[in-house]
Amino acid sequence: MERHPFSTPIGWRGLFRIISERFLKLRNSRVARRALRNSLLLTGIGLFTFVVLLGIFADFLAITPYDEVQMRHRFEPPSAAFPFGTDNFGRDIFSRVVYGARISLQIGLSVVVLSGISGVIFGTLAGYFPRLDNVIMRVMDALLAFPEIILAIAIAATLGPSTANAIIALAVVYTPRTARVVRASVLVIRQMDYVTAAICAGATDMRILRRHVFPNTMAPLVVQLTFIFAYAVIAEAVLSFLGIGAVPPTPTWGNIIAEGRNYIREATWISLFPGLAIGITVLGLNLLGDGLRDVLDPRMKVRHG
Amino acid sequence: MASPVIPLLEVRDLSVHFRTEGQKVTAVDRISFDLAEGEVLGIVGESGSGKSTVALALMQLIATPPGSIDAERLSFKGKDLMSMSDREMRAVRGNEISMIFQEPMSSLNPVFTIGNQLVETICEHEPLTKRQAFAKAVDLLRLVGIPDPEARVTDYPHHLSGGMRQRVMIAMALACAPKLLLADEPTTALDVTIQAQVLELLQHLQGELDMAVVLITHDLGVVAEYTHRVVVMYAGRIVEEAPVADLFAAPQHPYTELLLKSMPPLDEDLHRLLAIPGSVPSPTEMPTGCRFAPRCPYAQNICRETEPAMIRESPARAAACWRLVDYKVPA
Amino acid sequence: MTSETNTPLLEISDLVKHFTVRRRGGLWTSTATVKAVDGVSLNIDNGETLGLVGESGCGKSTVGKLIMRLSSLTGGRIVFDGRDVSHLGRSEMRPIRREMQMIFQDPVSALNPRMSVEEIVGEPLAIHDSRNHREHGAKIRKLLSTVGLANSHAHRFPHEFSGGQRQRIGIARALATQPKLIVCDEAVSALDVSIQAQIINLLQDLQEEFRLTYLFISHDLSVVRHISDRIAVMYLGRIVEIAEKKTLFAKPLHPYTQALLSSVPIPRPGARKERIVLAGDVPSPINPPSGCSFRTRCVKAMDVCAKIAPRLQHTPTGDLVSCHAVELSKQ
Repeated sequence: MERHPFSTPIGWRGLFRIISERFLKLRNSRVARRALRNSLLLTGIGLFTFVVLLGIFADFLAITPYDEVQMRHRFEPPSAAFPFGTDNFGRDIFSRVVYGARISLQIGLSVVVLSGISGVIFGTLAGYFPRLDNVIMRVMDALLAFPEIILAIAIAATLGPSTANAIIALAVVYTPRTARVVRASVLVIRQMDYVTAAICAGATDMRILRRHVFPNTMAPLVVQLTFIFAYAVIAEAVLSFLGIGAVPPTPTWGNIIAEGRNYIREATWISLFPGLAIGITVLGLNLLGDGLRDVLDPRMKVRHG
Repeated sequence: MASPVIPLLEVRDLSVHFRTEGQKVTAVDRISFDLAEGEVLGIVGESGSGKSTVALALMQLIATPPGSIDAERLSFKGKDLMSMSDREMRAVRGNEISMIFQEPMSSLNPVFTIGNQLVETICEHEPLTKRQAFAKAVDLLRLVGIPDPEARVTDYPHHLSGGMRQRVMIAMALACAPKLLLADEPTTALDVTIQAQVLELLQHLQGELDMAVVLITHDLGVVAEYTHRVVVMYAGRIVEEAPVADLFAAPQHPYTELLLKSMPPLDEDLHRLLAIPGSVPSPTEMPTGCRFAPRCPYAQNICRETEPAMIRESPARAAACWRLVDYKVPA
Repeated sequence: MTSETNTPLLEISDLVKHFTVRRRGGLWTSTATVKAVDGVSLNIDNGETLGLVGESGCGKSTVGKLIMRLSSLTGGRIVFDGRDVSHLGRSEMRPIRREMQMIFQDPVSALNPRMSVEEIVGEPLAIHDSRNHREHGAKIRKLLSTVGLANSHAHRFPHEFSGGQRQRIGIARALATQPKLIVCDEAVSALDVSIQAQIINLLQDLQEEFRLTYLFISHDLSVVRHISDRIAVMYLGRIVEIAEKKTLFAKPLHPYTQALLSSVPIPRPGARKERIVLAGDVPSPINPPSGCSFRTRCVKAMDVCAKIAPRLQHTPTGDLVSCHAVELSKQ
């Protein structure tokens, strides 16, 4: 019997399947099937999508502008008018958290893209060309030797407080992670017979990297990048908290918490809600990453943390 | 040859199921066979036939879940293996039934010397002092033909070649003089000249210790040379059972017949090999009726509809094929 | 068959490949040289199949890789189709690669899981024939039907196929550039017997249709016997015997060939012949025995074997063997 795709018996799993198969062209139906059965992954996607939607529709959700100072509404606890309460300037915490989602996600995404690209470049060079391996990986090891957050603080502090500098600092800090993951899979792929076959067919290194190596490093890289996204959200909050991230009055979860910390006893909500937002985002991303790892390759053992 | 005494091993309607990704897959489906004391039974089949799963099920080594074992009867020396507790089963494993695997490297612990591992196995089943156990370990290594066993006991597995490791595995399996040895593709990872060494050794020890052996293999040559009786498996089912000479002389099941013909002979020139078309059905999409029917040149309608039962021609000989039924029924 | 009148398609002489490996010994790492291939010479005529057999570690796969120029040579010469390709660079090799292709053992690792069948088979075309990319679709479909796959398979991905079908995809890819020589490196070893026969038949059909020349590398003597015209036997990096397959199987001259052939179990109960079970293991290629490398396991070893390495000598039948004992018996 033909069912309308949106009728209830198919439900949102069916919808997900349609999206994955028709629109994302996920031709690998086995992966799609496994994804649908993975509740970790689906919960992760749900939570993260929720946060993303908050960020995208911030303009509609935040009825009160995030920087509107209303001195008569200072320190108001959560109410119908101010769902998350207000801060010491009478600004609506809900609006600020929602806009903060936008900044956090922008920073997270930028860090993911930048550290992803540099990780692919360095990891591929190191893994594919044995001569470069030692040089590149020793530099990466040197970076890894520092505690990540300390290194990020040092770089961000040197560059000066701004959103762009926070992104650069975090991208540098997380590059060794992506580079290692990429290198590890390149080392395996390089030994595969299909790479040998490509050489036999006369393929250039460029072609082999583009057509054979790169596509096969994507699965572990994507998994790693979801975790990096989560780390970046936390690290950005730390940088903002310390005042070396995005500059106020731009609201970020980190600087909202920082501003609320003086009033933490009297007006807990100021710091509580951005804290929860960080928690939900990080939880969602971690579930997403774990789920993706299970789905893309059950045998894949990418360590994080 | 069939004696009225209780067989050493009796398997009736053994099935093994696995549950993966929400699907129930039947790896072994209602198989039955007996094994007499001191007999060498070959289980042959291609990948996906379920032959290795049989051995694991006999040892009760199937992880449950995701696996589950059903059997009407699974008895060893008259004792029911299915109803044994983990503790009782542990006493049977190694003591009375031993197993050797295809990959000797992964079955040996790389951080202990082979002497250590042997001593541990021996002490688990016999009340011996360390020193006595060590002496026994050296004897066992000598028994399996390892040169200079006094020196080798202090070696680590990676010091040994593949053939030597398989000998060590055999020594471990024999540590407690088992009545039954399950050998799962014991020589598949080895080169032919080494395979010959290991199989000759197994055959020699089998006679010496009067063990029963279940030799699981995909290699019909190995079956022909080293077994007494053969069970042929296809897609989780036993399709034929016969004494080894009869099986090769006059196979009754089309699968056996075609399998024998599809092997390139070593002493004869053929222009073309006979190939069995198609491939083994996936366990999630088993055909109804005879599982070999989609690839069988003799398949009739009935084969595709109803699964044939084992037709027993003599106590030792049976095959599951509708053609045998037709021959029996007078026209 | 007349190798004197035609120039061979492939001529390799004194091929040497040494690898340097690090050895951990005590405090410092030292390096050692593995003599993987140590002076191999052979010819392959147009349209012929040369079987290259030997046990694991004898260097047969390395010879295949060297011929394909996937690995640099330490010494020797490779002349392909009248052209010395021993030291050509990667870009100089590119046009020659059209003419020589390879089929691999592991059907899983041989196909990129992220590429569709069409992309896999089309890749050699895209590299060598990028100008006529419009015709590629038709060519790919033709190739698929040549190897027995359907058009509808073109858009599927490797994981949707069985082992035998994947091997067909690999063969289609190798055929794409219309090569003269195909190196089959254990091309059917990973397949089940029934599927193996399909692929062997396919390879033979293709050879007839496209006048292909095969170097068929395998450890499986019965397969090699079936498919080859001549067979070269390797031991520890050297060729010990090359002969027409009939003479090799009927009257093997080298003691190693004799032992190797006698080790193969024959799938006919009772057909068992006198078995020469070799003692011990293959020596390490890092430190091969002096003189003849087989002498440590050879039943006919003499004093001279430890001193002088025998060279390949012509036998009365025109075959080649390298053994002091054979030369003596000739005189």
